[in-house]
Amino acid sequence: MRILVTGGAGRLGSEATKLIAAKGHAVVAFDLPQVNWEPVREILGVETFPGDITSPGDVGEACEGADAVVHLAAMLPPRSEADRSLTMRVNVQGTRNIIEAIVGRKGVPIVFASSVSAYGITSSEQPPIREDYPLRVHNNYSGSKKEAERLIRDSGVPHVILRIAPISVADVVELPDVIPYRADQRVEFVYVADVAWAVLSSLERSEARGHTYNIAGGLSWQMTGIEYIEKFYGALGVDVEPVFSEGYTGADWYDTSRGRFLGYQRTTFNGLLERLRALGEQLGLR
Amino acid sequence: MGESLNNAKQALNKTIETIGTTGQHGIPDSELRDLMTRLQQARNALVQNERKIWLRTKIGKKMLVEFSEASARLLGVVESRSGLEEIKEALADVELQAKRLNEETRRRSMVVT
Repeated sequence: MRILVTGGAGRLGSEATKLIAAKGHAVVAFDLPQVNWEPVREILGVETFPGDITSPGDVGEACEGADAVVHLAAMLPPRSEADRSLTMRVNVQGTRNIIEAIVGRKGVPIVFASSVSAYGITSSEQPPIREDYPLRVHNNYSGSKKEAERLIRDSGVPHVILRIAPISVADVVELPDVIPYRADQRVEFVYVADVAWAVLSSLERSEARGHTYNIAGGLSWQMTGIEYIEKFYGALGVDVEPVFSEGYTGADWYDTSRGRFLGYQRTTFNGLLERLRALGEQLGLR
Repeated sequence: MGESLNNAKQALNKTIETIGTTGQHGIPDSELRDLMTRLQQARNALVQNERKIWLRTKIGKKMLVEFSEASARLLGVVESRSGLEEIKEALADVELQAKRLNEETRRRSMVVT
């Protein structure tokens, strides 16, 4: 299959691009011309397509010949919260551009990266949060994801919607000035390579079509905000002084049983910690 | 990490001070103002990144050594009262180091969706 991956040079995009290409598919990685293309440039079977998701012309051209589209391109927090208009243009109009480019070509499916953020602030609910929980807009980002989901469902295009939890990477990650969740808030991350597996399975398993799935790490990843930060940086060997959000935000524990057949939950939280410990030693932090 | 960081900051501070107090013969005021702005931006990159976790890694320490070396070269050029083109060339190297620091920090910023 020839698969277009929007946001293909990004953190998740490059991971998905590598995995899809490794499975023998031809991949067109679409991203802004000015991003760092290094992660995907040298991968065998990957064609790069510098373009702008808000441009119907760029998107139309990129979609030509595609047998499926993985739509990951988006404005993410905190940038999404600084400019609502741009966020809606990228996250909603960008999605509309994809739909319009493939809607006439029957059978071209779209795998869409939505977010658990679309559920809004759920801290007063009984976890885990299931896919049938109502979507409640609480910021620009969640609003854009809710609207993009609606566009996809209403389009008639074959689709899989993945509501992805916050993504974790085994790397030295800088703390923001204020961590966007409370210290005592329930959080559940998911490992980046596991999300790439979820994307691949969504493409390859036809029974996934027409459904929406929570994509999160699973039970071993369910903890509080402070536990996550302390364990993550402790494994790296770094002392940090985190400042947490004072209010609850859109992070929680999620029910991932519906999407378990996608077989993506390959990395336990302890597996992440082992990688971080090894990295900490390699980089001289431990 | 601390030594290279301090060396780089000291070299940039001294460069700013030298240019600011004595000027450079033969360099027009408008060019001097431009140099000062660019120097302060390079120094800001150091200050804004000095507490970043990744600077404590081997990769970060190596970058700081390179930043410190580039800053020392620039100071040497300024102190020898060289011409504008030589200063610009040395400053461009410092700016490249500043850009690398900022880019690495941006790449490693936590994104929570």
